[in-house]
Amino acid sequence: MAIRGSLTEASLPDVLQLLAMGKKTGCLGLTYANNFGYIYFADGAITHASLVNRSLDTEETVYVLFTWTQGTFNFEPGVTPDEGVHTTAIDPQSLLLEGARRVDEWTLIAKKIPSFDIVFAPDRHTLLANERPLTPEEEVIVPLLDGQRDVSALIADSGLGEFTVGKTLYGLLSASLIARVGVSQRGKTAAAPDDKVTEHRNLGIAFFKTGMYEEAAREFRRVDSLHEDDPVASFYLGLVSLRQEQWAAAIHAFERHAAHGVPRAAVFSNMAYAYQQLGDLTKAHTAIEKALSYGGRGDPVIQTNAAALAIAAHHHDAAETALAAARTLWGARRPPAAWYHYAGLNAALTNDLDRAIAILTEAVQSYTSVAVLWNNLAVAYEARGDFDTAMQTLERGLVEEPHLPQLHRNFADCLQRAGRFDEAREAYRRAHTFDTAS
Amino acid sequence: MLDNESSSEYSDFLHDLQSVVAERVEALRAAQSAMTPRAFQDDEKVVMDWPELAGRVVEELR
Repeated sequence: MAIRGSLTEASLPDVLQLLAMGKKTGCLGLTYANNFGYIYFADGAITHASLVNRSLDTEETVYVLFTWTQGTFNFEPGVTPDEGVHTTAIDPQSLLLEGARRVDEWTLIAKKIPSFDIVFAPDRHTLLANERPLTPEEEVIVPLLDGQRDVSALIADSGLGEFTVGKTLYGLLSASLIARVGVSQRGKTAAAPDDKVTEHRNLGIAFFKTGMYEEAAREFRRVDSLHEDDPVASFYLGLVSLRQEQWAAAIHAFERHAAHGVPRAAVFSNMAYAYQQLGDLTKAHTAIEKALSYGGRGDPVIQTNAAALAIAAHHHDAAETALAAARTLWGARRPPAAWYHYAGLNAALTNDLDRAIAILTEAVQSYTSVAVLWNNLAVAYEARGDFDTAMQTLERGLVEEPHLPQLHRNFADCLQRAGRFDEAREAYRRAHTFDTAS
Repeated sequence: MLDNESSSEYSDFLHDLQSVVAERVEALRAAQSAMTPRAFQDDEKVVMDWPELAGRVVEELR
């Protein structure tokens, strides 16, 4: 379950400590005005942090985020960094002290350097008369002060990080070794439309990845208004609609992409998914065929989606072919739980219970917390006549998900068969209650 | 208390009953097996659709 809140009510250090103590895994997204940052956690440790449209390492990013005393946060459990992103393991507690110190110092620095578009230049007379040796940071910064670079450019060109640059400029200003000479052109003029499109697009993607769908949709609509028929915007607006279970809106967005962008397998595959949710298997079939023809044959997720659609249409041979293709494409990697689900289901539906049991047993060993897999494995055992194992499997599933109605119904069937009629009646009642609730 | 003759009759009766019960249980199992596809088409027992987007939806523009 996502956790949302306001940074005015719960500060970032409070939230970090909460997530660390709870040994949480997921992504904490933070937004402040038009800025967005995110921090990934694995078992309570910080693995990666980043600011949209800025380039800082993980520790520097967290320190910048500490200075945000307004805005909102959203923790999305289970979300992990993209493949290829550099990850580390930092105990959040180790950043709190330094973070607090920097926040105090930054309050002072911000009084002299209120924005990053200010341009400074050295005061040559004072510098020549200066007898104090320059610090190593000042040695880097002073030669870069050419009366043109603003603070953002100094941060980028020095590679020192914004806190160190800010602190160094503060020291130089306090000693009157440098002086403010103006603001950069970037600060005077509005950002170019292309820059604004990129900014909103990056923000939208970051919001989407951290589960902030309303905010993501807002950013992509801004992109749309600045750059008509932007293919990234229509794709992500489709994804947001899928997340919000607005199937018709998702189809509309993906069709808009298909009409204006380069044909993409992902777009047609997602469109097929939305059509299936609307109950239109014919259009779903047309869309998945297009997805496969535009390169989707080499994509294991699209092959799994094709298999799910084939099962829904009772085309079990086609489903088996797609599932086998997906399995080959994953190679040595472990397939996702969804693949095991459909592979087990298709085997059972073609009356190959032994294979269904083998697939689903492997599945629950890898995905122990997924009750759906435990449930279907239990039904396979029950169908094979192995009632004791079915009952044990259902009990295991109920530990993971006490509200899944199918687990209670199957458990009731087992109790009924064992002559435990009162308990069976109670289990049927629970199945009905949870079925109605869902 | 049963005499030897009665005890033997009772054992025979239990033996006969055991084989009848075994036959009935086997028949029940066979009937269950024959119904396999139907059990797996019943969405009150089986979860047919994967409940999450992950694994079916592609979230990268590729």
